[in-house]
Amino acid sequence: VRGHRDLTLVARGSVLCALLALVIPWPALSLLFAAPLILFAPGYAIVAVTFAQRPLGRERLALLSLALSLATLVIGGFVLNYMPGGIRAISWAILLPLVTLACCRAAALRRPRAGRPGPSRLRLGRRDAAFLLGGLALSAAALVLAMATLPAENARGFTQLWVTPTAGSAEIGVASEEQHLASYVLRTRLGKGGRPVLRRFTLRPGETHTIRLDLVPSPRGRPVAVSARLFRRDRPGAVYRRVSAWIPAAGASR
Amino acid sequence: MRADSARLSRPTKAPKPVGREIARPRADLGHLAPIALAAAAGLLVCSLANALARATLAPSPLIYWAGILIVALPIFYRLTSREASPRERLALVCLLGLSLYAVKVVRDAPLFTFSDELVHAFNANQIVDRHHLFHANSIISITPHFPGLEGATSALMSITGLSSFWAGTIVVGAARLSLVVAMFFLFSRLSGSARTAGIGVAIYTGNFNFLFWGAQYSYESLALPLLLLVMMALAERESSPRKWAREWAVPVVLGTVAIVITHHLTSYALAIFIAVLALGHWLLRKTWSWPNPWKFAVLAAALALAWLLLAASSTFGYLSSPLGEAFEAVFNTASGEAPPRGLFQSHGTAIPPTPVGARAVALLAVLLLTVGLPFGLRRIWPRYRSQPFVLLLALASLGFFATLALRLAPEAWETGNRASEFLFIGLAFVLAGVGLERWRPKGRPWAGRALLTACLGVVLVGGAISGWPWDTQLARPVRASAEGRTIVSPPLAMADWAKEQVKGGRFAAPIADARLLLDPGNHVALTGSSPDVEDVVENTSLEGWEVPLLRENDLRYVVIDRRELASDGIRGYFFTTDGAGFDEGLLPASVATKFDAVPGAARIYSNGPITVYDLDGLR
Repeated sequence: VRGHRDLTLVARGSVLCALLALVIPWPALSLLFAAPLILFAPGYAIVAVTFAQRPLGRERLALLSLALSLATLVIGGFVLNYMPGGIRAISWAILLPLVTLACCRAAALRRPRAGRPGPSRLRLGRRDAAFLLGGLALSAAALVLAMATLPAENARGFTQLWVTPTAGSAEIGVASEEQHLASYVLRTRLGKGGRPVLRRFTLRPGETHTIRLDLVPSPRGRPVAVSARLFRRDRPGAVYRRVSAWIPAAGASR
Repeated sequence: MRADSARLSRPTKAPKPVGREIARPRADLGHLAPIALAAAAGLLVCSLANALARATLAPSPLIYWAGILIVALPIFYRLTSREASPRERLALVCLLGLSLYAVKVVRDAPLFTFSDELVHAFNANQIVDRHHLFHANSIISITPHFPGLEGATSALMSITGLSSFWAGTIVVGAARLSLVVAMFFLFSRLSGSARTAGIGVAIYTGNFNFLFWGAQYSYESLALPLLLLVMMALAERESSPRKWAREWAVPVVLGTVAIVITHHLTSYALAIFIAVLALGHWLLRKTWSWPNPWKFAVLAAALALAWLLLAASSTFGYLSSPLGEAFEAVFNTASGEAPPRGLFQSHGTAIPPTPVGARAVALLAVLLLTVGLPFGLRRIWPRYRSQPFVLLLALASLGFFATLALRLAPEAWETGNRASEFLFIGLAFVLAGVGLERWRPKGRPWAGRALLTACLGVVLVGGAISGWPWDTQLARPVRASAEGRTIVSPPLAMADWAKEQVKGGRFAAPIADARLLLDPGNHVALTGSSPDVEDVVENTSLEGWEVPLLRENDLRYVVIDRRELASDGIRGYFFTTDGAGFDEGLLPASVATKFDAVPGAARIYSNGPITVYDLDGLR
């Protein structure tokens, strides 16, 4: 692709972007390199080889680069599905630069030697630059506000109670999704004739309290019933949540 | 020469090199920068309205609609001007498409809350986890057979490690950008005017599904932009010299293949569109030779058929049922056997009605479209009657009004709604040619442009009201902060619990819970009427067939959600709020407690409204 600046840039860039996007462990930073590789390079290379004999115009070139990159992703996923290894990061990182390089090479062979115009130079005054920067800042603020987790006083809080039996034991979990600090009484019972055990604790919103109940092996190896009842300390007479299950004897599989 | 008549359509010749330097043309962006600032301000207002709604402060919807209009009206007004250059119009169209897409993104980030999004996000996660396509989806079983969107998303997810939300948002955003730009070039090529093209795209944003439904993470959101790409490439091919026309075959073929892999209805619409176009060529020009696109019609039909038979045979059943019901409903309504469907009606009586003012705006938007149609057709006929492409768009514009009639039949409204997204392309082109912007009364030369801008604003807002339930235009809380920590809604808490605590096993659940169990729960969940899970989770007493049905379908876990909204795929994901303006009712407690009597059933989870039973608790 020597002698064609755009093709050289796209071909080398795609390989570099693939490597960096794969290596960088932070998704947001990796995206900076993955985006041109995924959403631009393959389409640009396909357009370059398709329209090698005549210039297309920058606007159409930009559209086709984006749209044909999307088409390449769709078709590429289908192709990779039948390749050894299937659809993985590494297979995408090979396929996309491969398509780009092959098309760039073909474009270089088909294209006349005369140069192509470079990218448009933006005529941007200070005022316009300030407007655009302001627009970017406001858009970023809109996105940050959208992602912010806000207090919602009118949302009804609640509490989760669960039991997860495993061989020989059970985990009882309580998670507060209440709006405010809440105090609880948890009454658990192992076996039908077992004595209830009371635990008192307090949870802040978003906090979880788990306890583990270990089973004394049943002589006959039968499952043992476990139950848990949760009470609010401010309403001790009413069962707030209840769960129940059977604990398989140790050694039994679930 | 006036700027608006400058054609973007003709390929520009490369400037000759001067010595070793290559000339670099300058880009004139006109008033783009201040308009972009206004659009960003509008977006911030929309985000603020959604934030207030998530904070359960019941903001006035006017804040939100003001934000939408702040985004759109400056762009509309500039697009109607004579002075803007074609490049500025193109930039404005990009700004319009992306800004309105951002309105949807700031409503939901960083979670999917549209019902189809959760289904497709599950598919994308499956591809990333299992490295192959076509893994089953228990809620919309057809979706894994059209894996184009999820396959594309998986590239971003697997290379960068992004979540399905962010990767999907970026892919659909890129598709949205392609849509508006391809439409601009299509209209520009057909009309020969960048001004008409810009106005046409502006009108298209008034399509009922543009703001929300068409912007969701769903396969049609990628397929429709690809359809526009193919349409644009066909139009370019027709107007190119024959020796260059072959070049445009590449985007047509690649776009067609991608559409066939991505979405059933769009691939059939594409095949029909090109076939009718080819027929139009033959009728008007009596030839099957170039530029008649019959070969592309054959290709599109063959690929769609091959995919249907080899990869997605269940599409027959998936599409035939609603289409059959739609035909029956139309017949019943037309013959008076069934009453017509009331407009602006939601399921259930607990949902607040659309206010009269909003209904009036929506109806006014349809009225404006209707009134504009004859004017647009009158301008098109003398100028373009020998162009099959334009005549086909004119036919589509008429078809759009037929889909409006389908909204009056109870089972047919969804068919009409889906079809309108395609047919609106034709309507937008026809109406763009009306020429209201050229009306310049003495002393008020701006009147025509101002009137057209106002009409475009009404069409945009009215379309958005028609396309999405009024009470869910603004966000609802699915997460909230409480005393410095984050709490989540009951169904999301249940899905998070299932993800952490339950290994394997299939769930039966109401519609909203089942979707959250797919994503983020990453579990297989069945819902709806086939098998009849909806009765199992809503009946107040245990019928004899229910437990056997669950066991037959290997449904070990049953999720009982007493919230009536749990059966609502739009409203069922959020916190119950006090003072919501309507009663969020609860089903009787026996809906859940009936399973206490099932031998071996364990009640393993409870968060108040939601209870989960393990039917194999004794295993």
